[in-house]
Amino acid sequence: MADVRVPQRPYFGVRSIFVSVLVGVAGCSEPVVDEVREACQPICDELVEACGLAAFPDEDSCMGGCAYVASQDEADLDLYAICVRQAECDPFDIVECEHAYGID
Amino acid sequence: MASTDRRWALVGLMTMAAAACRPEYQVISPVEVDPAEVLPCDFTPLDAAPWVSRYDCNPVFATTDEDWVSDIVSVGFRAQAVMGHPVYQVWYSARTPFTEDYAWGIGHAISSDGTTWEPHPANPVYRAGNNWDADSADQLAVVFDPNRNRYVLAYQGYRLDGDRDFGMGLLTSPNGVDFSSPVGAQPLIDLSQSIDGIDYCWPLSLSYADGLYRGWMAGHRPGDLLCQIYAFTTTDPAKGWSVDGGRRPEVVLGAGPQAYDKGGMTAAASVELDGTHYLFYVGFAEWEEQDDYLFASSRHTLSVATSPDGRDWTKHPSNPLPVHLTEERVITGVAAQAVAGRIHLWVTDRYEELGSHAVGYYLFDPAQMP
Repeated sequence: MADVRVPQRPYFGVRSIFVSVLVGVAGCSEPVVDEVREACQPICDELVEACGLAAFPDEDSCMGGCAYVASQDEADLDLYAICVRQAECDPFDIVECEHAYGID
Repeated sequence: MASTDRRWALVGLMTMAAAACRPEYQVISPVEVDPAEVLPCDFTPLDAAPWVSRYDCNPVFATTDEDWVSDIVSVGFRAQAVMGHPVYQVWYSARTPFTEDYAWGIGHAISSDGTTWEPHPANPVYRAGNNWDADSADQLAVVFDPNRNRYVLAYQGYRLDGDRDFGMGLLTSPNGVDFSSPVGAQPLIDLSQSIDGIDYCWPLSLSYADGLYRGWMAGHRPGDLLCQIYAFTTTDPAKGWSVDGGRRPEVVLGAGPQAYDKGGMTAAASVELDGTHYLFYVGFAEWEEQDDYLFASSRHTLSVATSPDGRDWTKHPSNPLPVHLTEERVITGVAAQAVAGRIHLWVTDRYEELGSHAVGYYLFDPAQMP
């Protein structure tokens, strides 16, 4: 029996970890990570994918920066997202979105 | 055996699940983007000062090819974090070909990589009038005041005819484009006369942190020609400046005795990073006679001084920083800003291949400074 189970360990380990983390996130009473992701995704989609701003090495980097911004009280990501969308990739306007709704 | 493995696996998975419930955004740090990751060229540490890295594709700013620009006089740089990633802003004063209309203007450009610049379509965002500063504006320094949500731009202006006005001007803008003077058609500080016993040579810089503006000026006492650094503070530049503690103006960073800044200072920029203040300054070694009446500072190099509190400064023993590009040593400007754990430096120097001055980009890593 043991000989049969050994080859299954890597599979068990990898798959179960992913399943457990997902269950864990879904089971949280305050799904803050998902909230941040939901708020940041449209902003980073616009800045990185739509506008292609060279400041961002990739979208993950943008999401990391956005997650930090989200942790600061003065930020309003919902209005930030609206502002960035209305900026239509104009970098002058995007900077002003940061001033108005970000942390700098 | 298998049962033991499963128990440990279960403990591990429960731990991970519990960790996944934590609001992970509360424990992350600001992103630290290495500018080299987003720029087309690398940064190379200087052999003689490896804590300073030069961008391999300098200069990053020379001109903008706009019709209103005859030649660029002075450049004010700043980096603005957007989602923690630096976007670069520049304001520049330039002489114009329309001298009958206005002799100089201020332009604004932006770059998401620090090297490719997009001029603002409304340029020039400010045009000189026929006032005390009609002839020129240089020594630009720009800060953003998040408490009042406005940009503040300081400059040295002058008019050569008539009364030969000379002073520090101040412009403010809610968006970096629409500028106006909060003190009307007059200098914020009239530098054509002594103030509290000090004759001021020129403005050096403007910095802002935690609600406090700090203005840096070079000045000398009557009888000497040492343009040394004085500092003033205010919570609102338009409402007047005061010396720290209400004392008479005192030199906060003196000229010499080292040869590289024996004449004084012509430009400066200060930043604070991890509790230490850094003052980057352009020092000059001597005065050079231009004609019977005119002397000019000469042999300019970049140096740095540090301070624990922004008041008591110590020049670094490795000064001057070996960034000057020509044997004549003609650095004219420096801007500095701390972004995401790094100090970004923009140094105006002569680029022989261009036959003119332009701005080079450097990174300064205090952790590696001896």
